[in-house]
Amino acid sequence: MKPFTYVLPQTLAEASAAAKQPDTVLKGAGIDLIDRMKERLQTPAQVVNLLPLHKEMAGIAVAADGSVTIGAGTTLAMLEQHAAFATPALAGLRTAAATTASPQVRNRATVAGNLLQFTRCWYVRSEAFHCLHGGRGPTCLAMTGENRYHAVLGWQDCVRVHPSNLAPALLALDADYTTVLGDKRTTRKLRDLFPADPRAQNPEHTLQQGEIVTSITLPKQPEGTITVYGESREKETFDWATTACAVRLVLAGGTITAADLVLGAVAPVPLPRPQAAKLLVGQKPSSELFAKVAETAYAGASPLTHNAYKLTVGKAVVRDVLERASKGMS
Amino acid sequence: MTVPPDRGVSRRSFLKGSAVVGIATTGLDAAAGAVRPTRPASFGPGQHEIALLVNGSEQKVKVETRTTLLDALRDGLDLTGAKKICDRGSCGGCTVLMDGVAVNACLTLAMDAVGSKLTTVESLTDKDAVHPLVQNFVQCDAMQCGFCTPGMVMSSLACLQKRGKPTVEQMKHDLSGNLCRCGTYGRVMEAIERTAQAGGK
Amino acid sequence: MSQHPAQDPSDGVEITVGYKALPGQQDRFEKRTVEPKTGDPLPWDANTQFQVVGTDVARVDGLAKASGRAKYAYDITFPGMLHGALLRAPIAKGKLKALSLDEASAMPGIAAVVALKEVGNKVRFVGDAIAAIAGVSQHAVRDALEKVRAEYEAEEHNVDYNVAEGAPLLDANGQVEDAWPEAKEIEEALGKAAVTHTGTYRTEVQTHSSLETHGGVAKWNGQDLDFWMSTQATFGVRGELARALQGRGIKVGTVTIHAEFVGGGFGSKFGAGIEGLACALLAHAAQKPVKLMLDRFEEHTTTGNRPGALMQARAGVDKDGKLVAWDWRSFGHAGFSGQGGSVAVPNYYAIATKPRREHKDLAIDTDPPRPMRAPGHPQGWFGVELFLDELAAKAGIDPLAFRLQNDREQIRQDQWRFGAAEFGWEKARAHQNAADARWRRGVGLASARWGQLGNQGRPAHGATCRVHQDGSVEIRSGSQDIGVGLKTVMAVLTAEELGAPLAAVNAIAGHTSDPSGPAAGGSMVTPSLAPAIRQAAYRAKLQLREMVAKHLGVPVGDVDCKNGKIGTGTAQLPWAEACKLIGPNPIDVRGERLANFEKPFHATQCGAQFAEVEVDTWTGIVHVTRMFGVQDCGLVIAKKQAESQVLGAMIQGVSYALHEQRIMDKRSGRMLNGDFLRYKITGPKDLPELRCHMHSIANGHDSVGAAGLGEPPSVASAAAIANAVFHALGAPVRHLPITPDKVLAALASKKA
Repeated sequence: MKPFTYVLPQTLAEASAAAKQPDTVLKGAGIDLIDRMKERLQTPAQVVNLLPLHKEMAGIAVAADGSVTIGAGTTLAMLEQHAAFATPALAGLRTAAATTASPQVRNRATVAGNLLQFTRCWYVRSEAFHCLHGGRGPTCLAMTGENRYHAVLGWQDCVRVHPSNLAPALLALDADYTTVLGDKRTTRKLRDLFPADPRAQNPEHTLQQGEIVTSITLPKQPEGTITVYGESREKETFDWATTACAVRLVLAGGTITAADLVLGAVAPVPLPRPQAAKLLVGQKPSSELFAKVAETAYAGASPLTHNAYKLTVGKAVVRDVLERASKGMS
Repeated sequence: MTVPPDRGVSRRSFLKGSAVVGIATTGLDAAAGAVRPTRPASFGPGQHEIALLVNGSEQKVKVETRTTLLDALRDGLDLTGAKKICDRGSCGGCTVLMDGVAVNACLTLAMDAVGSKLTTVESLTDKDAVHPLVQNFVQCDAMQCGFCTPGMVMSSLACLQKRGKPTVEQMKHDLSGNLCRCGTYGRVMEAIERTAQAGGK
Repeated sequence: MSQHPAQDPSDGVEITVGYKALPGQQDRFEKRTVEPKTGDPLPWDANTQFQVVGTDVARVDGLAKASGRAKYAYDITFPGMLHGALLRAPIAKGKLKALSLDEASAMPGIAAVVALKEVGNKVRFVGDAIAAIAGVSQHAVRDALEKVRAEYEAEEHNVDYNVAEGAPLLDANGQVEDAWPEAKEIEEALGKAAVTHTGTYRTEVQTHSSLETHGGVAKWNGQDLDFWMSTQATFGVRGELARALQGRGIKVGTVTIHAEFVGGGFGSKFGAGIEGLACALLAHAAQKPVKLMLDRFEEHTTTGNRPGALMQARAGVDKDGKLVAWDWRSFGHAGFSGQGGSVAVPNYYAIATKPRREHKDLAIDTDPPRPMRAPGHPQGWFGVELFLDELAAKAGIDPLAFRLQNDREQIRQDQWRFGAAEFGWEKARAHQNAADARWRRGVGLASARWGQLGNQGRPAHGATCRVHQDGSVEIRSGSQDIGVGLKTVMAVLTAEELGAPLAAVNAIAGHTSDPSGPAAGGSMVTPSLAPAIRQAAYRAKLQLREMVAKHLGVPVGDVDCKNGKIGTGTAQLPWAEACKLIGPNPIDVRGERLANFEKPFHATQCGAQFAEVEVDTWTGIVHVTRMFGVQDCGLVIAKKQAESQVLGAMIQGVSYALHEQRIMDKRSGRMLNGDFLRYKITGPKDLPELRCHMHSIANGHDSVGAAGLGEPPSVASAAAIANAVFHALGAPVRHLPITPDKVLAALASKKA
């Protein structure tokens, strides 16, 4: 890490104002940021610490209307343990939290930090490489280099993948996010947090300088909702997903009445697959149907030189997640 | 919105910690915070002294804002039980308890630990008493080279404190942030189990 | 057998060697006449009744480790100590064109700057050391490293051994395409064989990944240097450092290495390395203690590795399944040195014609290999044992039956049968996976061998034993305990020989101020050192016996030391009372390692391992569900620690089989996964159910008969797992690690 000034705001407004200054970054637990700062990939002059704002920023509240608000500073461990996520409707989020990183990381890592973390691309995350990402170099090095863990879908000039486990689960639940920028509070759909055009030069998220994510809100889920999150990884202990999938099904009398399906770890952004989800609606669960949905979820894929296996694996994960959801196994 | 008790850094405890920082600090613009309360307090980038609440006592240590809790413990306080192995939060060798939960000291800024209750592996053994978990690590031979062992002990302690009598699956889950190159995982779980059976936390 | 020496050892004494039956098998005892060396106690043998040896004892430094109070090199601190770090070359091949350290040395807090390469010197790999800097903090040093002006002249490099000079041509399926060199006899034997088979196998580069990185703390006092180092060769690095420092014109008095606790080595820590030299140079220049420890990326990329291998076999069996022909060639993944990539293969499968084994190392522009736990073996055994299972399958023979048919080692024959029964081989092997089953189960087995049982050393290894009047005992060796339990072994042997309470014995290892001992390599430390330790304790005992005999007024020949008591059947003193006879100066004797006996029971260690896997055919993910290992370990001295080592080796085997591989960026020559997130090591959640059986054998090798356990249990695990995967899939995965992409490819090729 390079030297920096450490700022301790006492209010959100203070934090937002401080974060608007040049060469300044916001820090929650700092799990991802400190890692990048140690690599000297990010060398801010000023770090605004959001931890003192825990009171405003952390915690889980279930409203009278059935919606659930999760403070941006809520830790993954809290998601993993909180009773609100024990229901089938929200269990997918709990699984996504519980399968993230390690207990030590989950005890500190925040919901916002997980959503806003940088890609784990080994070219992007090393100061030794200068790739197109962030305009550091002329080309995407992974595209023609070692890319076994990289994107198979939705990439353009940069084949990084978005590493968040929570994002697919939250997107499947149609979550909103709320931010503060100065004294302005705004609520948007979570999908808007990620760039619609995830090119190398575009930031990994759409926040403005000084804009602080304060909470995530999940709408009330209808009766019969079940969400399931699943992923493939090379080892069970603390590994990154090679592919991930979150689904939300609403089942009524054995028929799927509504569905959402979001892929993770296969594209530069968490990737909703509405075409695949649509195939489920009005149908009764069956292996044949799920196989078709999996094919559709990966339709249009463009694997790279070393990651075509991800298509097979990814489709298997989609099928697996759908099987589990249809059997009520969250 | 509710704040669960005993989790993370509550604002109050943090401010208490900050006060300690302020007293011990020289040459930083924190004073500006006192004069104009609308401007947040800030520290660094140079060296200054902070107080950490380690194993029940307040300890002064000189840090930069970029100093990790791990370096503050090891280099500043000579508490070398927590090991620097990967320095990136992927091995668990630096595990300490912060307000009762296991964290990677290498991914925690020392400044972020001000005001928190820190527990390091050293606290489990003193001249008169050895924690049953530590004893069982020895009895079960839950170590070889021993370099991962302090981190394993701390994750095991967190597991026992959280679960009481953990199942094998729960132990694996709670130890999954700790790597051992010699291959002692099975024996670590035996040590946890033996401790749980004896009712020790 | 009496504990006392024969009057005239040259007469020879008869001892019993061999082993008690493994459950369900037969006793294998033999008599041997050996000539105990002058000064040694009579050898222990299969009939010796032990008090402490072989029991479950707590690791003597266990509390130090588990309490976090053990001070490893990384943990050593001195007032005013500086921190050091190295500047590493960013290019894989070329020359250093310019180097300026002025700006760096002017940075705040910087105390010393040392160039390690001169302009014009070659750069051989990404990470080659260029310069070293010491300063008041890690931060200050890191800031200063950025101010070093180094320019390079890059040359074309290659880090891909597939296209290295001399590499064989591969076809689209990764099989070696080059024709076999002519070998008439083998061709003829293959021609006559009932079934023949050929296959190409490969493994990737594995890094040692010791958790404590290389490095240490250097502290000069005038011309004398004390160095706390993370090393597995205290005496080796002492000599290396002294020479290197003198070579730089530094006057060196004594050099003392301290390695009381070492956070793993696995073969990578035999040298002081450039980091050791740099640390000593910086400390000398700054006239202050300096700590220089590598970071994780440096550890992965500059401290050696287990080389990858490309291996091809062809062989044939007759109609009974007997091997009649064998041909083998291998290519090793050497680094810039072009050496160290060798592959070992089993030599106990009986082959009717003379087998051919050829090997070639391929040089690439990376950090070269270093020995790693059974160098060459896990890769070669994977290739051979999987090949043999494929061949057996083609011939319609069960893998176990095939081994029993062809393995000519009696010890392993017993181990195969016992292990198979214990593991439930027959039933597990008969399990049929449904044709459309998503999860497929399979079991596999593999053999192990290690060919070293220790030696005298040249000059001979030694140990010091001191008995003090307060009843405490010191047993000292300058050799190092890298986690295998050497200190526990030292204490157990000493307590056994002296009849002293184990708690009275303090084992001290790792300081070159103590008697010389071997490096921790080749599973040599325990068998090489144990007789010296025993002799030291024995010589101390002789002195104590005399004092006690005199005190009690009994003939010295009647005095025995056992169970904390010294004396005769009628008159004896408790240990503590007896030691009070010693006086202020302790009994202080040195034991020496004498030569091995001729004709031991066997000269190599045998083992066999069994593994069960479950494969998710949808995702290609493999889980190892259970393993069983039976391991010859000579005399078991400290049972629990011996088992720990075997179980640990099996876990490393799981890691090697399924996860570990160095991934290089070909364009830059830089490792991409030089961390612990993408360089994957088996963790707690991947842990199979593991069991092992210590097959204790009185090997009649020396006065103790110990065997080391670093390498032997490391040989078979990955091979057994690969065979289990083959069984589960019905198609082999011939390339380690067995990652999902390869499993899916194997399944696809089976369908096609």
